[in-house]
Amino acid sequence: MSEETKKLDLSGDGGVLKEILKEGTGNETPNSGCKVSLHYTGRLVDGTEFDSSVGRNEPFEFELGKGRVIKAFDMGVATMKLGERCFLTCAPNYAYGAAGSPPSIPPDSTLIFELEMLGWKGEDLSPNQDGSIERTILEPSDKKRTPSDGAFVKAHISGSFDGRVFEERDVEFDYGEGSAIGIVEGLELALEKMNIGETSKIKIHSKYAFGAKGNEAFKIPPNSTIEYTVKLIDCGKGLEEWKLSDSERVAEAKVYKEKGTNYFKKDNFELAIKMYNKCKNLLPSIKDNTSDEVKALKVATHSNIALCHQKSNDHFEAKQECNAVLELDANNVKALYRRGQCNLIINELEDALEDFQKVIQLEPGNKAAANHIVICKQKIKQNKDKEKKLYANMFTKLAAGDKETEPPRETDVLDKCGEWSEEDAKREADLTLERDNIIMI
Amino acid sequence: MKMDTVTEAENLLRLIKRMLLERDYDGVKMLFQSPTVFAEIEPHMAAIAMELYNEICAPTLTDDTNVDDAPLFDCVNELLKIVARYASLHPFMLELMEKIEESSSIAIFSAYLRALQVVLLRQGSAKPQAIEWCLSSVVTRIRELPLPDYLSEGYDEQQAHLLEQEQQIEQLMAHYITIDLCYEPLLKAVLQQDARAPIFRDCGLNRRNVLTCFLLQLLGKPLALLEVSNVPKRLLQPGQAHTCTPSPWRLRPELTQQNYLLARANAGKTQTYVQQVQHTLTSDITRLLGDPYYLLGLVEQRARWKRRLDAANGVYEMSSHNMFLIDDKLPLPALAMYYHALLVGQLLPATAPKIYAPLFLFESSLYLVAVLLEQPEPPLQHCGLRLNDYMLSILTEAVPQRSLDLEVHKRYCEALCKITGYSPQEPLRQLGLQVLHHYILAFEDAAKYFILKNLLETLQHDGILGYLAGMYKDLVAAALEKKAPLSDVYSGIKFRSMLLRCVCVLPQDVKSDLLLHSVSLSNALNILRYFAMADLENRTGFWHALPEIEERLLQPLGKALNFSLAHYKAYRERVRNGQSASDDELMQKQLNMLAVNISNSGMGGEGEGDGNLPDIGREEKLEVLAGSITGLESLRVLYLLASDNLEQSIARRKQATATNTTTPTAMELELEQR
Repeated sequence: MSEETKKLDLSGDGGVLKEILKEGTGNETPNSGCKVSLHYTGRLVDGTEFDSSVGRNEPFEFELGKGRVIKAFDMGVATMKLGERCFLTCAPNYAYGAAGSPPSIPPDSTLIFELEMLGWKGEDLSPNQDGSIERTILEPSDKKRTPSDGAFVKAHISGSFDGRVFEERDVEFDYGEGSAIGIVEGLELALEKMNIGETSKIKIHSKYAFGAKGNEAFKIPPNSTIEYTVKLIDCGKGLEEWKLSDSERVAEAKVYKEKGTNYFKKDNFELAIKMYNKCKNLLPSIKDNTSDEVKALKVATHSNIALCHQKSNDHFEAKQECNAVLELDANNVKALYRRGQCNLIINELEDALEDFQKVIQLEPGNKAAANHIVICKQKIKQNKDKEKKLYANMFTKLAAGDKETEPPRETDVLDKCGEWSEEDAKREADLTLERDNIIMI
Repeated sequence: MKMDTVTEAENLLRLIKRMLLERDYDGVKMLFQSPTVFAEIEPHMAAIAMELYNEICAPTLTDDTNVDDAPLFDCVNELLKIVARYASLHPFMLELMEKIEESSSIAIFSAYLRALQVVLLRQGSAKPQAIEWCLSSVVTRIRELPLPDYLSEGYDEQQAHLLEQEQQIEQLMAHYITIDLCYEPLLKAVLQQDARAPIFRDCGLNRRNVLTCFLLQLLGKPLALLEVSNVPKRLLQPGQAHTCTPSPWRLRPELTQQNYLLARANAGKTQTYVQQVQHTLTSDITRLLGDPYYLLGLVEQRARWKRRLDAANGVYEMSSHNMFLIDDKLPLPALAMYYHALLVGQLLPATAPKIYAPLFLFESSLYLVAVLLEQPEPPLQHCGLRLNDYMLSILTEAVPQRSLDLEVHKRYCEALCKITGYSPQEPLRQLGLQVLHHYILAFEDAAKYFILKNLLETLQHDGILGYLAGMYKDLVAAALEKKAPLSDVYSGIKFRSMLLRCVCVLPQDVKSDLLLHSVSLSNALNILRYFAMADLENRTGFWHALPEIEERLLQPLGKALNFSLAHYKAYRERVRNGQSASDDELMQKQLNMLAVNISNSGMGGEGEGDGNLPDIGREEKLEVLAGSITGLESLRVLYLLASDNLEQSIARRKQATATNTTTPTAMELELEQR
């Protein structure tokens, strides 16, 4: 067999030839998008070494198939197995072309690389870079557009667990609202980094998938790592906020408000809040735009967010939103009523009473507010009674301290069994205070 | 026995205090320098170290002592370094951090920094977070040093030469040089002791990465504001026409930095402190990184996809396991300055990988360029322009249109056009225009068209609009010179669309303010003249678009010119006759425009502020009016020339059609069918 025949033609036109020096182990080769680590030495055909990771005494790392290195390198490395060593002969059009890279690589140079594959791993897409979302590109795409917030996304997804496909479907949604159609968070995060036309395998740890609950319908146990194969078919461009005039902003904000309301109706408060927040952020600042429409929209949005928070039992956040409404419109009955409700729940009773009283001032016939006033007053009274008792206990304790001169009685341990000592009473009083404080905080 | 040790330690402390009181500094030195004496006292050092610090070092190391009693200061300074070897590590670190941040002079700063050096080495590679906090106190101090205002406002060539003579900058450089000296042993230890991961780089919190981020932070502001050779050579002289021939700088990176390298060469004998510090920091970062381009690969991840904080999943600002992705630890402007020093400053080591694709380097660096251009300080903007120019020069083939899907191109264009149009620094505006020109030419034809059209549709600056329209004309002209069929972006529908929507535009029809749009209108007329004469064969489809151009531009422009000239002449008459009170508002508007122009040309900037100029006299009014009338008359001359050229060419084309019975070109047929 001649020497020529040992060389594999990777490009199909003889531009990238590979000659294996040492076979690697296993059958796997790295996929596009993988982070690859290898050693290489590059030489010109006359043997002049122009670049070497061995000389730098550290492996060279790069993301395969993303055009980060010269074409021949991407092409050659993609065919290497673990531990493989090979020569890669690259024609100029797969390397530095007619221009070369002066001074080390002259124009129109054929380059010879000696490569040794050290390892590869999937691309980590997780926000904390903790390996909880990992991508392997199965079919790369040379397009560069990726979905951005609010952009229309069309994809085909196939989820599997333990080798079993649990769902396969085409999905269309606006980026950021995937959860509304059952897209797990990890998949949505991964989609943001996919190019149109790309197919990838996404491995998702439980915290970005079905979490500690798992998914009964899909028969996925708690804390399971799942895998999705996704093809991003198409995506639009997200909203280009900077381009929008005030009137366009208002129009877009209305769209998001509408979306928020739809999610609210479906009891999806998390997404509803997300949409209302987008609406809020899109609206021009009151300082720049004093129109009634903008103000009304702001008031409605804050008010709706407050309601969503109330429904989600986040009463502190709800109160903040009510405050925002009241800053814009001090006599907003809804906001006053809601803030009163929040205050009542978080035990800010005086504030709650004040809010409900103001509602009655503005709307004398508001029965709900009147009822709440009664409840508030009752609770305040209860609290006062409780306090009275506490103070009484405290004074008893203080009085007891004064009587210390009396000679101590002979005590029978069993005497006090099941009874509260003064100390116990004091401790209980302290604890009650503590509890109250905790609630108040 | 234990009691004896305590007593001995207390005695030692008393002895040192007494010796200092008696000003027996040599005696104190002897205690620690004489091997036999030191062998005796060393066992007690750990016990008294913190007391030595609290009772002697901290109260003594003050500016007053430094001025009034320098020998005492020096002695205690040495003592502090010895204390650092024995003091309880973490409490002492906290003390040093506080003292460094609060240090009031270079003397105090360097005294504590010397101690910090010892402490950092003692800490070893364990608890890198502690090292990080110590080093960040150094950065905090540096960032808080007072600096002259002109550094952030921009400075001219003369000021640049004298930068290091300024006392505050001298102080700043002294701090930097001290820091260089401080971290050197730590760097050596890291390079020798901290082994790299065998296959994949560890990007987590470790001593090497902490030191890398620290050095990178030092390259940011305020050092970045002192880029002494930041005054660009005037490459485009006033009035010089641009050409669309490939830039002579292309493919020759070394030429793009001619000015910079010249400055370096000139400074060869006496390299400035800034250059020395930059050189040291850059080389040290590169030694720590190994592959200097490694961080460039992370830039897109940082700049393109914003990390969404998510407390439910434990995603906080600092929670990334990759240190280089955290903005506080590795600010992008500082990283951009590293690549500026490395590439533009030619500090790239010969061992740097050469297998990176030029397009990847260009696209990744564009994020950094955009970051620098968006900075408010002109010196940083200049570095951004120069880095961009360099990255454009290394491209070996045209940038494909798909690259424009990256959002960063838009961000970059916006920032660049803002500088080109409105920077108060004239050299920046000039360089900005040049870089914009290089940038557009770096793309393939379809992408060039796309960029030009988008810019022409979105920009407001009349001068840039005129320039870009001229660039498109040049590109078409270059294509016309070749016999090959024209690309679809230089002919037919797209050519027509560009001409009608972007070039030959009179924004408010007859009512347009001709003076405000004079540059773009002059360019439009010149472009019409060019095509009228150069494309008699109608290869571009110009003659099909002409009727619409006449309707949308030429006819209303003719009327508008007449109206405007009549108006200004009448106004001049009224001023001459002293009857112009009602027109003064208009005059004020024009003067305000003039004031903006003045501030733009970097001549003063006093015109900015409340936007009103004080009332001016009759002569000044007449002068402004004369300028306006001259401007309008020049435009009219051009208008007449264009009309003339068009008429002549129409006649020539008719003649040619009459004498020559050639079939219409494919382009004409296509358009006629449409």
